[in-house]
Amino acid sequence: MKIVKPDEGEILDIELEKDFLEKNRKLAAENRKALDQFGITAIDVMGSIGSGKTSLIGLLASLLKKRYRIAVVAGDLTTTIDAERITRLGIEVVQVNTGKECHLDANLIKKALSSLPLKDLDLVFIENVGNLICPAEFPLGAHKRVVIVSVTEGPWMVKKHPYIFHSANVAVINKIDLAEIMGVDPSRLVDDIKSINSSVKTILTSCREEKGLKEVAQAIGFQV
Amino acid sequence: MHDLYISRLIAQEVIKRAKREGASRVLEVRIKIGNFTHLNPEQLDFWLKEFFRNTLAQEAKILIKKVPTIILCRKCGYKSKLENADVYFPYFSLPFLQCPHCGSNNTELVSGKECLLERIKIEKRDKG
Repeated sequence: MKIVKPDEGEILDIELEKDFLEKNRKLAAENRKALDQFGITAIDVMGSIGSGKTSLIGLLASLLKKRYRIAVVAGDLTTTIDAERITRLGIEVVQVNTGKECHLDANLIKKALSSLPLKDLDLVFIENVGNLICPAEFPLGAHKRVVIVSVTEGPWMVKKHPYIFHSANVAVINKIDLAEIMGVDPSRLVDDIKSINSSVKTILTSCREEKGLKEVAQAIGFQV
Repeated sequence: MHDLYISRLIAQEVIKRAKREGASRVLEVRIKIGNFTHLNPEQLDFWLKEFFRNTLAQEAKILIKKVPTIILCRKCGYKSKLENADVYFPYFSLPFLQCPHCGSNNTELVSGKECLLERIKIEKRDKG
């Protein structure tokens, strides 16, 4: 005689309570601690593709390199174009290729920092991946977060991406030399930003004409 | 937006834990997603099913619960739940973190940023 047993094993309910965004936030806090130990200020620069992240970092680094020891962490999906642009200025660069990811995360920054001579640095610029959405969700441990938008992206850039301005300390509106041609009023972008986050410092720049850069340097806490 | 990335982390964790517990299969996966994240439960569900394919979690029931966006006003102390709606701009669904009582945007996020793998239910079967 065959006995047929019910096809069931032991059922276990396991509590995990693991938050995957929280994990990044914890790593970001660790990065901050490591930076503080060496007295380094880190600036996370976020913005969409072509908004002027690399230009802004390059110009700020050129202005500040006589007074401060600077390095740049350049995030990009696959290329080293940005890293090469910064290297030509005589600034140390660590390239982080995210591969498939749309943002830098705290773990990638931890690795990047480990390859930098931290005791010989005052200021680290982190160039995030060109994206106004994902980086907002992934703090890196930087002391200040700078968002850069440009008038060539049209009049709705801020309104469509409010989330990134919540976590920003400084908002840069770039390419104002082209505002008229584009028919975009920079002061309306400033109003949009202020309505989302009234504590954010807004600065108008033209990287091409090298305007507004000293103000940005001051806003992140450095004197030219 | 980064649902693929997060789904992969969750799937890896589920499979790792299930194997460690000696599971023969995973029956249920419970996840909590905050409304104030750029994570879309529908996309998460889609990618999780892809990552679970041909693993011991391939039949798992995926249960995703949304956590509301709740803010506390630092100015007037009013606590309120904010809806993801087309109230502010038709293009965007995340709310401004603005107090509906006094209009201040000096607010603190109480909940809504969760991306939690809450619990899993597994089946263990004796071998032989």
